[in-house]
Amino acid sequence: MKSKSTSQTTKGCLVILLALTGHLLAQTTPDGFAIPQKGHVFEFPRDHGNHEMFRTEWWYLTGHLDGAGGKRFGFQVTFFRQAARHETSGKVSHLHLAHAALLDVASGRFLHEEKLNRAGWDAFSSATTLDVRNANWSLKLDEGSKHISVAATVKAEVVLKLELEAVKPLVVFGEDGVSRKGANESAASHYLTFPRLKAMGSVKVGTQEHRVTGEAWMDHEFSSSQLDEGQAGWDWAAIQLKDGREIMVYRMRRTDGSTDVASTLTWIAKDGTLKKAAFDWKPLATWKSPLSGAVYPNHVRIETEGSVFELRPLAQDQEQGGSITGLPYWEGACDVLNRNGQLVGRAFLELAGYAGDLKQYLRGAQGRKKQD
Amino acid sequence: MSTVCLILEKCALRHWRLAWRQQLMLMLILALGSGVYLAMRLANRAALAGFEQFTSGITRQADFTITGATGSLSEKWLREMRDALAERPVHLLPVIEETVMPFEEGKPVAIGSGVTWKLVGTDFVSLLNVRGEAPAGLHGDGKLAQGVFVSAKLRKTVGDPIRVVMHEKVISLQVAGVITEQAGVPTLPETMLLMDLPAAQKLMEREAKVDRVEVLVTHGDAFPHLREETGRVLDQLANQRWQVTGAEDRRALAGTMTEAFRLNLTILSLLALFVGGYLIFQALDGVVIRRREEIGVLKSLGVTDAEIQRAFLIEALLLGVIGGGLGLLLGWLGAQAAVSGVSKTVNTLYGASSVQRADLHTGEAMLSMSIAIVTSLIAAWWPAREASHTPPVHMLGRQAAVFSGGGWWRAEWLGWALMAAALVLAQLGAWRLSSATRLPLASYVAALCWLLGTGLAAAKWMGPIRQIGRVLDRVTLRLGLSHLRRPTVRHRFAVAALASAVAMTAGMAIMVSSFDRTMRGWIERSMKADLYVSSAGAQSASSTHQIGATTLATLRAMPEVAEVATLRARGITLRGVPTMVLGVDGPFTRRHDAYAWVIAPTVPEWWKDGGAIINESFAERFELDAGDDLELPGGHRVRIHGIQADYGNERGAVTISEETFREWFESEMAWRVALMLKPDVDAEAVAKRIAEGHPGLSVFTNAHLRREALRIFRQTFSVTYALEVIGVFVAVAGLGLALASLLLERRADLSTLRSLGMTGYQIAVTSAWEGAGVALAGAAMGVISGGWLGWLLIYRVNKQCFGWTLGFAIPWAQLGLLMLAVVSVGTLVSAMVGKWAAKMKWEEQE
Amino acid sequence: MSSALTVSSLTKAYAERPILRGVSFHLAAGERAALLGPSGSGKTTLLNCIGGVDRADTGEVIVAGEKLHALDADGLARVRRTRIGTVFQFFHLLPTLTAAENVELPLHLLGVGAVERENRVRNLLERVGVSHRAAALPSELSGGEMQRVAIARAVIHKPALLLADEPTGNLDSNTGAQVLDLLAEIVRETNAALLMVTHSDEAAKRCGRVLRMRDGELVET
Repeated sequence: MKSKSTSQTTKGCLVILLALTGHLLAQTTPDGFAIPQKGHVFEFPRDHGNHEMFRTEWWYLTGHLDGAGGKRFGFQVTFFRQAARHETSGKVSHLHLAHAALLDVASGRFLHEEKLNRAGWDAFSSATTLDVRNANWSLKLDEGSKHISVAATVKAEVVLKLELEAVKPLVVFGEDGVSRKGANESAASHYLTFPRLKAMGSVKVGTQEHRVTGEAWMDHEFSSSQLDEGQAGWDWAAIQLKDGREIMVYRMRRTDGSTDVASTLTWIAKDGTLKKAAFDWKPLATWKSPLSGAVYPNHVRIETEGSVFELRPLAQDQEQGGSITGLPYWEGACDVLNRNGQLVGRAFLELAGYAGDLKQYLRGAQGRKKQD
Repeated sequence: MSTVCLILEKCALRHWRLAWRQQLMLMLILALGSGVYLAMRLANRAALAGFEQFTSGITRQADFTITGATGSLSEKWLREMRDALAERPVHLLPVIEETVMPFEEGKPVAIGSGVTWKLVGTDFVSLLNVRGEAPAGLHGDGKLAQGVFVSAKLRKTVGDPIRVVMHEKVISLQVAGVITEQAGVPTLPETMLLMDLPAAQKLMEREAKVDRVEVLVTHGDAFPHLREETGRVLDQLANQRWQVTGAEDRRALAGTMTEAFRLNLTILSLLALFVGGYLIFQALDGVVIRRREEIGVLKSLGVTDAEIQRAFLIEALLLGVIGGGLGLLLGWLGAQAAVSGVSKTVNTLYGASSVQRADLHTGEAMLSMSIAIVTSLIAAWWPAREASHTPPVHMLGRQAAVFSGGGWWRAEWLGWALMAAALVLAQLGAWRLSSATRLPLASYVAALCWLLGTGLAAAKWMGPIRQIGRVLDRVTLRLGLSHLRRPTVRHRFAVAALASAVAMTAGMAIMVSSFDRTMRGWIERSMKADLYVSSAGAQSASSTHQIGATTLATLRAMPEVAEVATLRARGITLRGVPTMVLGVDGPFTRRHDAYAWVIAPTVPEWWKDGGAIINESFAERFELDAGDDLELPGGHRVRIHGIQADYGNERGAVTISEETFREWFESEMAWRVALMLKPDVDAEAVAKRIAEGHPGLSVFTNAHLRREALRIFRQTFSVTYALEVIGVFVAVAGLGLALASLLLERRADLSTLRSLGMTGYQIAVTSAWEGAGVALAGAAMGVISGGWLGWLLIYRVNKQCFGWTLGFAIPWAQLGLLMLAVVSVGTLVSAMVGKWAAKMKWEEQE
Repeated sequence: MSSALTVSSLTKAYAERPILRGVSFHLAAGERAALLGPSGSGKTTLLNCIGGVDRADTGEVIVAGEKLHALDADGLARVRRTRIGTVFQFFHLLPTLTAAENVELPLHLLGVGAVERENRVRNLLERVGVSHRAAALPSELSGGEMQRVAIARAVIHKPALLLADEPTGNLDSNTGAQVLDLLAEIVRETNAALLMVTHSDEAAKRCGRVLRMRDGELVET
């Protein structure tokens, strides 16, 4: 009968409508920022650029460099973008935070600097390609050569200028393009990485300039909430093995120190395919920061699929950040040793949330700056 | 050395104790001399510092400052700068600012006496990178709409309202934070209101624009020549859009702008020192005479010449130290008093306003002390030599010893020669130091020669004055003036000091009076409109306040208004020096014959086809003349058709037509508006109506404005008057001192007169006549010589410094009064000295 | 013969040291007396008391009928102007006045008119023999000339008492003799009483009386 089919159709439409609305509702945070959706198709170079509908975004470059005469450096250059929505006007403004750090392995000297600028002429990120600036630091993708160049300084003591070439293709972590960080739907990010880049360039420390080569790892992650309720921070490691494989570990840490179920370890095969695996994370030693008082477990043992990887820091004090934001963290270059103590690769270990209130910051609270 | 100490202890200090009044007088003169100089230096520095607050930055002193050539800098340009600097660790801090005036309901403010504040917008986030951490008070919760951060000195709390006048609008702001003093961080002046850049840009309706960029270079081994490189890169990129000034340049700029004014002050303050030095010489020499016998005895006892000389010099040194110490106190006190006067003047002229405390730095204190000590030593050198040449007592005759040393002091011809030299030097032009800094060095030297010459030649007057005295047959008069028959060196000194001081005073008086007369004339001529309207915040020549297009339209539409003429203005930097471009309604100026021409334009409509006129300051500063072409920043060329006389500012101005101005500088705002009213309209009433309708405007009737202009003018010279009085005072005090010395030396004569039956009263009167004679000689010479000095100041010094042409006007009444005052006070002082001498016991030691 | 000068029982002490111990004597008009004595005997002090320049502790000084002790400073000045004339050892001419001006000074102080002053000065200068030097300043005069001018100044106002303190002390013997002669003549002409303090016996001989001072006491011989 016609009426019966009409009412069925109507019901059907309603259901679909409800579903759609519910689905739409699930797409933004309460204050209007986007939540990563599965099935997002990534286009490049556009997706190397910024995603301003997401609250937080970073381009994260770490690497190991070797120079003449056995000179060895560990470096990190990170560009952060943090959005905030004005309470009354509803306008969104962006702050750009950047970190640069260099470890001179031989002397153990660790130099770092933090920069903060509001989005504008002096700090911005392109929406169409990789082109991020913060004052005199820059990270750019050259369309033609496909090389990425990075330039950064640490005060007037260090100058880092590198050209990076991807030797392995870009990988997208997570399921269907979304990397979950917690039980809540909003605790997720889009997480893109160049797991191995060939680096070439120069490092100048004081008056001495060194030509260097090495390998780097670049993350580009954007989300609107990185931490779930009950989470205090994360421990993250990027391991580059000599045999051409990489491992990325993202251990979400609960406030009681235990590992959240959402934590992941992902193997990246030589051909770039990803495989998740279970893992065991055991801190072997800690270091207490004289500056922040935080206790960092910066010497860890990761066991996965029968392999043991010991991440041994190249220097204890690789704590940085916080001079402006009040949020220091530990990000350090490490050697990777197998169960027999042999050197099998190099890694970077990041320990976040051991000092300051990371969750508060990521939620877009005022921090130490003045917003209008 | 021990002999010297012995002499000092047994003789010198004992004399000091006995003649303590005299010693005190000497120390006071030294103190006054060095104190006045110090006071002027401190006040000067304070005024400069107050001014510098406005040219220096918010952070620690920036390495460079970038300012636009024709006004604002676009944020696009900042991006260019950043790209050009590449990875160099250079901090670029953008700043926008506007002068504002604190607004109080119902309180009209006279021009020049309102405080000028600066509303400064800077990127607070960017600032964090420089400071490393946010300074206390810079937190705020950011929810206040127009939040400003103020200095703790304003005694406000977060949330308090602040109302200011910006351009012609009254704006309400709220205190978002109070910044307290922090060690090692330059304090926020109480006249500065700090705002976040985006909010400020919005408020000032200048989005995406900034007024300057403070460039801070990070120092480190990885970038050894960063400062020079940065300057070079930024300079090369400018392409006429901006200029880059280094820190020293900015200080120099502040110095340049207030230079003329400060130089005048310094010269004047040196006068007090100059005159003081004269007097110390006299006094010390008198000391030598009186102690002749004692010295003779010491010599007979075997004390050497060198030891005597050394003892005297050490005594002079002690005098200098004590006098200098006193001078520090006097100077500091004087500076506190002077600083507000000086600051007010600087504010009026240049718009600096914050009144700084005049603080004494070690360097300045040392300088002042050294001046006192050096003056004392120089003044003592000759007497000390004389003392050491005193013959031993058995060869001392009993005649009163008259210091005959320094034959050149008797050489009146030298005085005339110096004056002739001055006449020659006056013909020389100014010395150009840097771009647009002109130092009329030759004229200053001419003035000095003239003053010295006046001093020496003044003694010539004493003879004729004595002759005049013969008219009356009074014994006291005859006796008193008889001393001028063969004037001693002491007489000469006293006359010289008086003549110089009076000449200086008279010269300044003539200059001021000429200014006055010329100003009045100029005001008569150029202020013809019925009403003048400007922003209430336009407190001074450098204010940036303007009147908007809406208000202009309203004024034009008023039924009582017959004509409206607007004056537009923009500060520019030409050849590294600040000056102004003005835009006027050409036909209006011609209709009302508004300009006093120094060189009239040959074309009647000079404003057409890229024509312009300049004022004298401009012509002098940039060495331009009618017929020259001039290129303004931004690539605009004008041809100069005429030069007008303009006493409104000393920065110079080039005037073009309104239309051209609007085209080139893209501004619809007017700096001043002149209204011609219809006949039989009550100007006061209209003024009141406009003011009530627009609380942010200042409306002046013609009469009122003229009064204000003159008042400001007088205020500018207020400090000058004070210094003149001091100079004359010191000279008259010196006369007293000279006479005291003379009378002490004439002790024998005084006894003789007493034995002849002269009463104490008669002796006092005799001394009064002597003093009057000297004072008259000094005053007469001084006034006459001041005439030429006035000419020099007007037609050379001021013309070369400021470029103004003035009419010569002699204030006869004032000069007469000056002479009368000097002679009366001189006579009075002499009478008092005579009275004191008469009371001396027979054969009294010091 | 009226008394030009009467001194009665004059005592004076300085810092408890007695200088004058009850000195008494008379001088009649026209009388000439020399006051001799070693230095420190009190001659100068006595002269000062008589001249009204100093005050005795006790005793009386009457000059031409004027009781000095009863007068105040102005009164004493008046007496010095009108009744007393002084000649000093070191002349004490005012250096900025010419010879003529120095001489006319006492008259000027007494308010005598210009014309009369001029006449009297001219005559007196001629009398003492220095009229050719009337316009000279003291710095241009010789010792003898200066003393002559000084004498002229001392007598021009016809004082009753003339005091001379070592008038020849600064002159050579020849000039000194001339000056003494002049003094004697002038005194005779004007009938003034003369009291001359001197060391010179020569000078003492020219005077009628000789008074000797010793340790503050006066002894007449």
